[in-house]
Amino acid sequence: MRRLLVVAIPVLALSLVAVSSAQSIKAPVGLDTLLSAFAKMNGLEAKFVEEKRMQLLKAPLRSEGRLYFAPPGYLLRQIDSPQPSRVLITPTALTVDDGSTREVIDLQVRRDVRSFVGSFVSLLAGDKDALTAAYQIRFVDAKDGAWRLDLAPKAAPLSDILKMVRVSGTGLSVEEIHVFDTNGDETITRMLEVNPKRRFDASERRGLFGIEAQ
Amino acid sequence: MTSDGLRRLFAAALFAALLAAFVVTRFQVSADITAFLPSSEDRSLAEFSRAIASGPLSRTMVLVLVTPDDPSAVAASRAFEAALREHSDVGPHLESIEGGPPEGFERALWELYHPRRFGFLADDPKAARHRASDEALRSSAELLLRRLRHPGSSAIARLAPSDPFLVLADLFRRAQQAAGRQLRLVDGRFLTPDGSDAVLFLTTGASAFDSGVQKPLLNGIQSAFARVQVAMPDAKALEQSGINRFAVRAEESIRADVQRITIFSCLGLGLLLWILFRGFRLVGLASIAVGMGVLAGCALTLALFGRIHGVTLAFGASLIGVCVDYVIHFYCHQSVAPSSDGPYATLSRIWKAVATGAATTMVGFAALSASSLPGLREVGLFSLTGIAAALASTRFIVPSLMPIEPRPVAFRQWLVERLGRAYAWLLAHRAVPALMVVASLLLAVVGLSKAHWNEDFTSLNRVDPDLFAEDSAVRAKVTHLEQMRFIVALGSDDERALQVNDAVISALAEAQSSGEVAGYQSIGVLLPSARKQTEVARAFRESPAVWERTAEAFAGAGFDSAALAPYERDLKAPLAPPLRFDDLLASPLASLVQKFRIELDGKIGWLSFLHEVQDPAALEKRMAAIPGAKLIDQAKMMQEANLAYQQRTLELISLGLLGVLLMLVLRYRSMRKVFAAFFPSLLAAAVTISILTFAGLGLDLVSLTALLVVVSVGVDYGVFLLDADMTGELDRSAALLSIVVACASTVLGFGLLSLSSYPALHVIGLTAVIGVVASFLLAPAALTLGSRRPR
Repeated sequence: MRRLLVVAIPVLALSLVAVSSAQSIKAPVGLDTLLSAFAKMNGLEAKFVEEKRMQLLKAPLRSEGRLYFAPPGYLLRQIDSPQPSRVLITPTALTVDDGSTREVIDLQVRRDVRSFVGSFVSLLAGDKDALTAAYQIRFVDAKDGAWRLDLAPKAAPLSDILKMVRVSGTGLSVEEIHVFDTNGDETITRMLEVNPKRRFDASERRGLFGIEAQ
Repeated sequence: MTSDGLRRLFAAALFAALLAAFVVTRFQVSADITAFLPSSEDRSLAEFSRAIASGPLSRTMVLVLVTPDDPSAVAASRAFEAALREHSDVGPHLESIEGGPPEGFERALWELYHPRRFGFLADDPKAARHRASDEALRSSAELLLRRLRHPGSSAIARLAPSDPFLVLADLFRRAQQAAGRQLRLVDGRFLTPDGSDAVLFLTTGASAFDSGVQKPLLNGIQSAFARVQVAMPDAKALEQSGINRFAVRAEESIRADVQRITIFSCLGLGLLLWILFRGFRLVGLASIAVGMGVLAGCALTLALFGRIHGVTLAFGASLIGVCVDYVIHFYCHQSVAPSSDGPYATLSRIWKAVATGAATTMVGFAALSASSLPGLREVGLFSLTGIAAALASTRFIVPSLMPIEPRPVAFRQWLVERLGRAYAWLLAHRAVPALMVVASLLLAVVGLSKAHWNEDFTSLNRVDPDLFAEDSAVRAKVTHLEQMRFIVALGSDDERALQVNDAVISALAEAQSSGEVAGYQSIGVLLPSARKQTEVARAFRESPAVWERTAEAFAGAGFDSAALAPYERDLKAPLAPPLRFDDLLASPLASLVQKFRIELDGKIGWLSFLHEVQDPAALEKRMAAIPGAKLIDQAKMMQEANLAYQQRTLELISLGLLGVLLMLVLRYRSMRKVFAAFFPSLLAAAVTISILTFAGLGLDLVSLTALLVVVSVGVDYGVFLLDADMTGELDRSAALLSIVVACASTVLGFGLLSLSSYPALHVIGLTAVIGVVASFLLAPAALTLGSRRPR
């Protein structure tokens, strides 16, 4: 289960990255510009569609849901269809609730998970040095402002499960995240209906992220 | 001194030196209260209880490092473990030390369980057959699909081709759920569930009661922690829990008390003797008899039991109060009424009295040797040996060292005259002794009617409050498992016992869901019996067309059945041999499972540890329905057995008293004389019980045994006085002086013992002091009442 969560986090975090940059227009960007845009992100809400292609299954598994983000590091990934589930990341914990079971991982306790989350926080913060410590990064410019960012884990345990994460977009907009597992399975997440200026009131912050008013 | 006397002295000195060398090299004190743990009511169960009390659990310490945060805890835990392993007083005595799961833990789990996963598919064959039904297969497929939709399903996707039912994940989840509250695992180290303290489990190879190992080990632990603290100031404090700490503290307390008593009683006795005899020769002579007695008792006890119990040692010290009487009696006669033919002749004149006194004491203690309690047997054996050795010393060594011409002392002469007059006054005023006896009888009747047993067996053991508070705090942080209640599944071998354990965990699961118990730790989830593993695997694998139906069910849910090829291959392969305890023992999981197993006399017991028993009666009823299973409530068992054994010990002591009475009848063949010799001691014992009762103390094994000392001393006084009375006035005066000195010396010894902080020693001292003083007062009173005519 721990390994499952280790893999879950980059997908979630990259989803966040994708959403945060969806506001941008089609214009040529470089890696530094992209990271800078991530760092400026505020609250947002987006719809996503996820497709899992697995060796075990004859047809891909498709899920739909919504992402919610509130700075400094609260992310809720809520699947609405076909079966509801929730994954919540806070600065201190990771909670997975699939309706029948609920698991909480203390990120202050789990060094392995925390360091992994930290690497994606580094991405969101535009901290290139920290990011390159965990991943081999390859940024590819394509035509018409399109680009592709390939992140390959440098070390185990992540590299045992994850072959590569490919983030692609146009201009400052991230449109798709493609996760390649080492066993050949793939997960593709497409971003839709992004609201990059979403603000959450106290009630929503408590209801969605469990943030109590100060 | 004659050449014969010199030869005797030399032989005695050589023998004493040999005994002393043996005792010094073998000396080991135990405070293990289980020596007084009964074992006959349900012998097998009690022996298992004793085995648990001395098994790995009792040898395991819990060490908690108090730190401000998790990273500090993890670092301090590693450094502390290394320091402990390196320490010369700790490392060599470690059976194991765990600050986290053993290395290779996860790999071992996979390698042991994955090949045998079919045996873990369900709790029983019926449930396994159900899992192979079409409906259950479809449910399993849907469950797997749900899990695959779950974020981060990569690991599941890797497991599912060979384990589409996710047996292993479910197995470990169930094991965790059953255990309830768990330690946190941070960076490979155990941390408390609440807070940020590191937890280490340290198991010693030596018994928790082996002070020779445990005392330096405890110091070594402190020293290792101090070293860690220097390097890591964040390691704020070390908290410990372990039976060895209580044992070492109790031993220190007993040793200090015994030393104090010995020193002060010797000083007091010396002062008294100086006043009466203007010399310390009596001290030296008494020391020979007492020393030989204690040495012989210690030597035989150590030879037979390997160590000597603190309570036995206390009785050893108290032997001073009994054995010294023989020499005192002899010395007083030699001082007041010496024989013109020298000390040997004086001793011959009073030998019958001394030998009778010693013999009656030995008869009394011989009864204790028949007890089934190891502790009481030890006391009985020690006393028998000690008294015999003291008597032999008095007979063969002391006379050659006795002064031939006693030094006249004015105060002694004055005291002897006063004692003689007092006795004559009592004879002339028999109403006074009669009143004393009647008052004592009344006191005895009222007191005995209110006497009660001390039902709290543990009250005899002193628990240091500071240690107890720390121990409780540590256990509260680390585990809520109960310390005194277990479930044991018994069998003639591992497999049979595990079959019983299979039933136990089923019952425990039901008890947990019924709220009878909050949780439990059992090996049963991870190690069902081989029979159950095989039956479960077969029930599933031999279900008709199970592969075809599995493939169909999973295909119906959207799976590519070809991807389940590893599962199909293993399903059709020969069944892997069931998992055995030896497999776990040979793996990195060994230290985690060893605590569940105990072995005794060829029988195996599997333990289940309980967490917060809410309804013990209901749980006991559940276990009673399983042949071979039993809820062991050690506190209850000890309490019930203690009461039964108190009764039994009372019977034995009564038997001993009957033996004493018979011996006196044979010796005197006169009811009047038997009354004079025996009645005062019996009445003194009854008075003692009464006073203890009025003081709010209940009778227990220790006070009963001390009462035996009271009766022995009382009979000695009666016999000494009676025999002297038959010999003549001068001898009677010498006997009166001897019981004054004997009583004073006994009160000095036992009086100091009654000040001990260790409850068992306190009870011995108090009982003996009251009883001996009562005997001292009643013996002359009874003798005057029994006399036919005034003298």
